[in-house]
Amino acid sequence: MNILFKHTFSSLTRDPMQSVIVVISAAMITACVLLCLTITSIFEINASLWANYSYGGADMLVVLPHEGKATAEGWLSENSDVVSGYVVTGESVVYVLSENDTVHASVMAVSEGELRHFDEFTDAEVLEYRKNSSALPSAHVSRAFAQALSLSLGDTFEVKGMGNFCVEAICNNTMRYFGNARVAFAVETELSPFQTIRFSVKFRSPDRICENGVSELDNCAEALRELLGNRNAVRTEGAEKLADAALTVQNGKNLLAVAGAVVIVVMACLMYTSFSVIVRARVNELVKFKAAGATPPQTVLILLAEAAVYALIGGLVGLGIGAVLIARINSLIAVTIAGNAITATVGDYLLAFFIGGMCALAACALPSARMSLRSVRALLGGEERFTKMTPIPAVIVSMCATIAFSVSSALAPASLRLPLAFTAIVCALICLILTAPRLLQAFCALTKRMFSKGAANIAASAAPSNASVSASFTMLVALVSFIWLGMSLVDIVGYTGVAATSRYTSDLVAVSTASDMSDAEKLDLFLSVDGISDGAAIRFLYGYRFASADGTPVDEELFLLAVNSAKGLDYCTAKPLGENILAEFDEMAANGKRPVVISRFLAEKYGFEVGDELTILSSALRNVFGDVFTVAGVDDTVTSRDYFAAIYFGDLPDDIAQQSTAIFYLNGDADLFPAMREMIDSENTTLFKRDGYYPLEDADNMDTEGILSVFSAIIYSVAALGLLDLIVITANSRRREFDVLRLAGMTANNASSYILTETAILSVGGAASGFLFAFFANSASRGVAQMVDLYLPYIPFPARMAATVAIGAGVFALLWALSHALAFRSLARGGYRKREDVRLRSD
Amino acid sequence: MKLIDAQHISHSYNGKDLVLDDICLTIRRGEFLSILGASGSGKTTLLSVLGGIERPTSGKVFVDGEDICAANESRRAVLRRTKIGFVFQFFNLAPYLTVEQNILVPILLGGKGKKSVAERLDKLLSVIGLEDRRNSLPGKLSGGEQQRVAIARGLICGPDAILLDEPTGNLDSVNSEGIMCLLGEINRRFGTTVIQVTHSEKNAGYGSRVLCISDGRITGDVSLRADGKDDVSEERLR
Repeated sequence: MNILFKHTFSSLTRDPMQSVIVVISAAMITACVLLCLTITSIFEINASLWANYSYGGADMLVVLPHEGKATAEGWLSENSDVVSGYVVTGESVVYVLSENDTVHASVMAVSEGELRHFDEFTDAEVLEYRKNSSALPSAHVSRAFAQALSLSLGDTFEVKGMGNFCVEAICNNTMRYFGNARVAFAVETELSPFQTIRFSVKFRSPDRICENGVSELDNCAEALRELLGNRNAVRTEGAEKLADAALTVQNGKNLLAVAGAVVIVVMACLMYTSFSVIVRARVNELVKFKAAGATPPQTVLILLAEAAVYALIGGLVGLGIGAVLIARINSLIAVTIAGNAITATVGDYLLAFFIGGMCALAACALPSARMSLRSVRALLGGEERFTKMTPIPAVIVSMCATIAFSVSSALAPASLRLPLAFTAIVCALICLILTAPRLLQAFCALTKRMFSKGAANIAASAAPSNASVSASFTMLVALVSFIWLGMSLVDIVGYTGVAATSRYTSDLVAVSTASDMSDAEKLDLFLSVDGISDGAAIRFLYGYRFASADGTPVDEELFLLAVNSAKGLDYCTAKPLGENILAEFDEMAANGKRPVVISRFLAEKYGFEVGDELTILSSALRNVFGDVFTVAGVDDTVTSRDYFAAIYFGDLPDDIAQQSTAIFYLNGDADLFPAMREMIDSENTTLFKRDGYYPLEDADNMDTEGILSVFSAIIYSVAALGLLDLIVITANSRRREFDVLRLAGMTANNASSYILTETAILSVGGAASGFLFAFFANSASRGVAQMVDLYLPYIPFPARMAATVAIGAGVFALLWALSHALAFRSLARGGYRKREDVRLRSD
Repeated sequence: MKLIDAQHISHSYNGKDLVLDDICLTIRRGEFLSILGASGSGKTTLLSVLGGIERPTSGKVFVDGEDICAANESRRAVLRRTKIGFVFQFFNLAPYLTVEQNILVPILLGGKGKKSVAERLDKLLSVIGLEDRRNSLPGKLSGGEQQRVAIARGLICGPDAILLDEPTGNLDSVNSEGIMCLLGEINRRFGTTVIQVTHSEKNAGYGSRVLCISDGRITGDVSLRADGKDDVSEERLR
């Protein structure tokens, strides 16, 4: 046995390139598993922050006017046996001014001397602290706030209408310091200017069930509501929000599991292909061992020992790659979430190593076992591998099933799309494996018709039977589909990180509560300022929801806004709506037909189409708008949250129009911002650069892009590795075939023609077939998107993906032609006789 | 009439040990020459040099008056395709091409289509007795059948000579005899010069001339009469 193992280990170094490829395949599987196991902590942290940020870890929120403060404080001290602590804040949206920017922020004001208590109560992680020695009041700011305004300890900043503050501490973006669209900070100041104050209360045992069968938290909330005489003042739904967040996390995990599974399956397939060739190349050795009396298990052990070494080395390398990727992602998300959000435990590393190793071993075990079970006589058949063609009926059945499921997953009602999508992906995978050799055969037959003579004819004759070439073709088709599917999944994950505000497109934003001018007059005023070129006033309405034409309410809160004309829609749809929709909107508005433009999300989720009628209700389900609205168009913008609907301002009832807030989206030269602000800013009007009004949007996008760049890197690495794997191993395995052709009189020109024909068949045919399967995968990915509540517009062949795939096929063609030309060239240089001598000696 | 003229050929694989040592040899059209020698005597190397597969370390080889040692690799490939057919011990068929496609390889490489040699193809398939196996892959054929296909491939272009390296070395006695009879028939029917390398005296006896080689030198050159008796060589025994 020792001799067998010794032989096996020495064979690892026989073809270093091939060994390296198999090791890297094993490494990529392990790295991918490690990333999938650990990256979910980002979802967990992010989702819990979103769910919990307004509660800051409290069990109960009490929001009430100043007059109720003493009553609430009295109740809290009376119930100190159940209440473990509380903090009182005054909160509002404020504008922070710096030399070159105005930043939209959330302030949490606490009484003097209470900041440390606030931090402790909300479990804030204080990153930097230096006691404020200035005369200005102290501020503890979030990391995102400090970065948005380039602040460090001891710096001062001005809050419009509140005065100046000195930075005493910078806190991590956790709990209350988590930025939710705006950046957050806490200050010590008088609470009296705030319209309402807020008690965040923690209980000792909030879930303890009392004698009346109700939890202690709910009992206390009810008692306080009665005491305050205000049912809306006390809120306790923090736990429910966390439960919702857990569901979101689970969706994210599922999506990641799908993406991870795709990567792992592709890598395992690559390993299987590589190892099949490796095993086949060892046929002479196996014959000798078998002839010398090695049993099938012993023969399998020889090969599995080799695979185990690959898995061991690959697993260790993969853990290293995984650790580097985790560090990279951690550095990317440090701005919006906390640094080191992803932490891999020893258990994660061990599990990833185990799963990666098992996948690698399984991929290698199959060809090893198949080869070991063959008789000596069967093995004497030679090193050549022949393609096994799938019977035509099986090909037809699998293709029909794939087409049926993928088309239906794209076109079926939303509720059916997810199961159909998964079935379609599985069918496409099976169909691809069964059909690819037949497709290659068809492409070759076509080529033979085109070239009835010459080396091209020989190339087209030989390719379909050669299992190495056929496997290369199949893998190219799979890789094209995989790149496409992978990019679709990455896009889907990407959309989940796109801020809902990304749909608003303008260089500047102005907010004005001045009541002495109309929107039109304000807009004219803004447009008269140097540097501002165009703009629109958009009114935002809160607290409305959808209903169908018959009044059946739809359970979504809307981002409802009103525009004066279709021109305003251009500022709130990231994807242009198209001239026809804009014209239709204006025409319907002019004719009193009450147009509404809704997002693709709302249209698909609730089955609204252009021309349908719908009703808009208040949160209390009252039909405050009267008549129905007609869908004038569907907006294809996709963000993480698209509850978007736009109506004509003239259709608003007067009272609602009065209550709404106008925001002015303006385009212009943002470099002139200080001068523009000088002209526009007043007590009631504030001008922002876009990134000042949405200060976390860039950071959010950067995080998402960064994380996705890591995933894209994995996908491209897998694809690149696949290409390299295919080409190197196949070219190596074909030396004898080339030798025969050379001896039969193949010249250099013949060889060029032969290689070019083969390259053309494989790359063009592979890309075309890959497109076919990618089309199915792309259709199915719309269904997968619904796992994370995304409704994507149907684009059969996205240009970006098509371009990527075309480049991939081009690279394949180049590498294939080059490597085979080199293989031919090396055969021409080395004597046939010498090679035959070596071969005979080895035999 | 001279077909192949080898002048003072020497060859070494490592620059030190001579595998061929100053060999001079003339082969006439229509001859059936057997090169006989033990393993390692240099007979296969000699065949490779004569067929333009190996370039000798020194000396010249003329095929139909053309110096193939001066020709580049492509030109030698064309010569292999047109003037010289080559057959090896291990059949050397393209495994992924059918019998018919394997035979047609030199034709297709020469830029001609199947139609141009359809008649010759059928005739060859008939001679080698594989008309009904023309669409089989080589893996499905016996050793003897594969060797016959390799011979047919060597003949499809109508070469002046066919060179065979141990054509029966991998075959049993029945198949060996069949192949040797086939070569004799080809030599007679098509007038093709046959040059075979063998270590079997019996197989060597099928030819019209036997060249004995040992340690890279020609040790005997014997013409066989039709009655099977030795004739005196034109060249002196060395």
